Amino acid sequence: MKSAANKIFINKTILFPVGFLLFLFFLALCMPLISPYSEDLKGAVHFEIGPTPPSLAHWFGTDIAGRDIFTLTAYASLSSLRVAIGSIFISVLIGVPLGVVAGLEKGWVDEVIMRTTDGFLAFPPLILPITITAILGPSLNNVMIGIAISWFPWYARIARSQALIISETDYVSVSRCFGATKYHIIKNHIVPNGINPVIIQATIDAGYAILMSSGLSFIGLGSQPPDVEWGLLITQSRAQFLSYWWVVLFPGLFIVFSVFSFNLIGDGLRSSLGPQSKF
Amino acid sequence: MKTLIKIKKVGVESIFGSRKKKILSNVSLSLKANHSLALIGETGSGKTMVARLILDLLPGGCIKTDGSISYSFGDGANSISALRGGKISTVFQDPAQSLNPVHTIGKQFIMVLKKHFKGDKSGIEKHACDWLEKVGLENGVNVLARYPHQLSGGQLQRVMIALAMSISPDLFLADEVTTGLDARVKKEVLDLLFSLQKEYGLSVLLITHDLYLIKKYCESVAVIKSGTIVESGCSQKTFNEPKSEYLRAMLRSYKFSEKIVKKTEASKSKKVLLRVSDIKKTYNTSSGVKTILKNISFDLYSNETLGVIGESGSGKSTLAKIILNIQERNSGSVIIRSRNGKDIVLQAPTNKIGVVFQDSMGSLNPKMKVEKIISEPLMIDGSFSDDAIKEKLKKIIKEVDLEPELLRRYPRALSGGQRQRVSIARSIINNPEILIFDEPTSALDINVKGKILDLLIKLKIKNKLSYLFISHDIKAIAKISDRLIVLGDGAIVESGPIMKIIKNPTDMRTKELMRDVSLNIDIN
Repeated sequence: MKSAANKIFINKTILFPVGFLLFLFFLALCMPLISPYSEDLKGAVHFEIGPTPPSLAHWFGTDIAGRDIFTLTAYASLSSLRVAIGSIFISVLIGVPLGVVAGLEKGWVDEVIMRTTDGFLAFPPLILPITITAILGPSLNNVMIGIAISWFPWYARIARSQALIISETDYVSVSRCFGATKYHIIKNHIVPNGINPVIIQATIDAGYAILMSSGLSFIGLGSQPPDVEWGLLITQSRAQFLSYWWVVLFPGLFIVFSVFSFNLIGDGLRSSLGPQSKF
Repeated sequence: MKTLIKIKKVGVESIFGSRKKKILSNVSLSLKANHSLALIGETGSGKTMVARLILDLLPGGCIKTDGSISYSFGDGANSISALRGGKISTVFQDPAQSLNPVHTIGKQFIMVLKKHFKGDKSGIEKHACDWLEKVGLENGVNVLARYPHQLSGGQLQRVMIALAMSISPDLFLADEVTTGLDARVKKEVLDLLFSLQKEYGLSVLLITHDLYLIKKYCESVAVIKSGTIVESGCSQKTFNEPKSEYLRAMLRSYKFSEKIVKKTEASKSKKVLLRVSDIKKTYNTSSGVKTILKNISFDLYSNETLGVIGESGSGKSTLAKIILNIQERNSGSVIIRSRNGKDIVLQAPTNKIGVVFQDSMGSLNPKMKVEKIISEPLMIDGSFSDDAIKEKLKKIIKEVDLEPELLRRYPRALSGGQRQRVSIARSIINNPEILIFDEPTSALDINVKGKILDLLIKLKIKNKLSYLFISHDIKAIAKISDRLIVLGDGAIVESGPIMKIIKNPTDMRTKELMRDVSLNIDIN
């Protein structure tokens, strides 16, 4: 595994986006401590200031309620990263075991699991998370659950195909000749050899999860004020953005850059962990 | 005699990131007109790299570091891009991969010959038909209308030769053209290639690892090892008086002699260890029920090696998997008589039977270190302490002649022979009584193959093992087996002592399989 780790970090394209996301994370953590406008994060409003363009005092300007957009946007990274990582984590947690079991058991177990997941895939990509979140009630946690439930079938499919391929290899046959249990085969053969495509897909999907959660927040299903989230910040200011360009630009740019970063990481991982690579 | 290509002291390096690796060093060769030269070497010795060097088609990341190549084909056009597909034709190992599966053979001829015929389609087709008939494919028009998957391996290789010859080249590069063909087709393809060579006064560069074919067909030979030419000269002289130790070892390991067979035949007993009776296996396919094995019965005696030979698709591997109980059977039983004399009817995998599979890369988990791979059977068993496992590991790698430092490596950092030794170590670590081998040597080079077979013979005597040795390679089987079973279409078509079957095969299919041996005996 050491050489694998080395190889990932030789791939320099990955260092910049990883650095950027880590920077966002720590910036967001520090925001309540270092920002002079930290009370804005707790719901304070200053209508007396109103919308002001970017300046030295307010780097990204202020919105209609006089809140410092830099403070809000930077702090909102936390919820976006949480959704990104959380929803994908839950997806993987549901999808991968189901897929592995389907691929190993074959027969009717496979049919039941895969046809059920196909059912989830039959919904248009936006409808299912919207429905689930709407049923569960609007909150960031429910957005995570909504995304996770909509996306786990993809992980089940990847895991199943990997399990199918690996269970046909000679090393699994040999293992079975020695009387290996299914658990032994999953733990020692299928997971170590089949996990790379899952990791790659998860990284790319993490970016899309941010887009999705911002979208859900934008239509009012995601985080609720006074919490801050990029999609929510945009929706709060959408009435004013024709007169005051900065109110939606900066949260929007943060979405773009973080999604782009996740995609770059996924791409980098694909070239070092993908099936063409030598290990 | 005119020299077509002169390679002078060429070195080739592959560069990956900051790592550099020498692939060829100081390679000098000259290809004369109307001459046949063979380049022999094992897998990974750089022989294909020489071909790619000549064609200026080095794979990405590889560069020529020193030396020079000069082409003198006359007619002024001596740049390699003009020569490729003009004066130089190439045929590669796997015809199925060299031909585009979505185009008919005719379309592929048109793509190649467009330039030469200035787009005259009927002219091309006539020319193509002529050549297809010259390579022995009757009814050329019919062949032109077919897709590659509708032709057999031998036919495809003939198509490739016809395609390569149709541009009337001066030099014919043949890279492992006969690998993957069975003995009869192999001989036919080479007979054809070299009769064309004489008829049209071509030069042929034959790249291969098959020694005796070269002796028969090629005028001169160059032996390549780890990217360096270790020996070259007239093939008759080189083979009779090999100068390099490497070539001598190759020649030795390739010899088929009755002496070896007789030696092992002496150790024969009549105690039944494994009784396989009435094994039947069918598959349900979309086109009905397909029978893989029909009523296979045989006994394996203790301390003997039973060879099982058969063409691909004859059900050999399925039989192995059924005996190992990792594949279900329709009917029949597998009974093992253990050392204490009790009969056990096998319904599930047992630690009394070990297994070594063919592809040494595919049978080792690429994410496990060698030590974990070898001790996996003990981990599965679960009744061994870490210290006991370590102790056993130490002993077992000595038995299979592996260096202790290899234990910390991953399979990809091992050579083919080392990987197969790891497989063997894993199969014997929990003291089985029977070992089943499914094509254990077919992915290995001749030299390594001999050493692995020697190791198996040594282990068998030392550990009092019985082997079931499945292969399509009669030479390997003859070296190690006492008795032989011939499988054909899922049934046993012949069985008996090995030399008897080799000398007097009665069944047609057996004769086909033995041809490889008789061919080599002929050439010897």
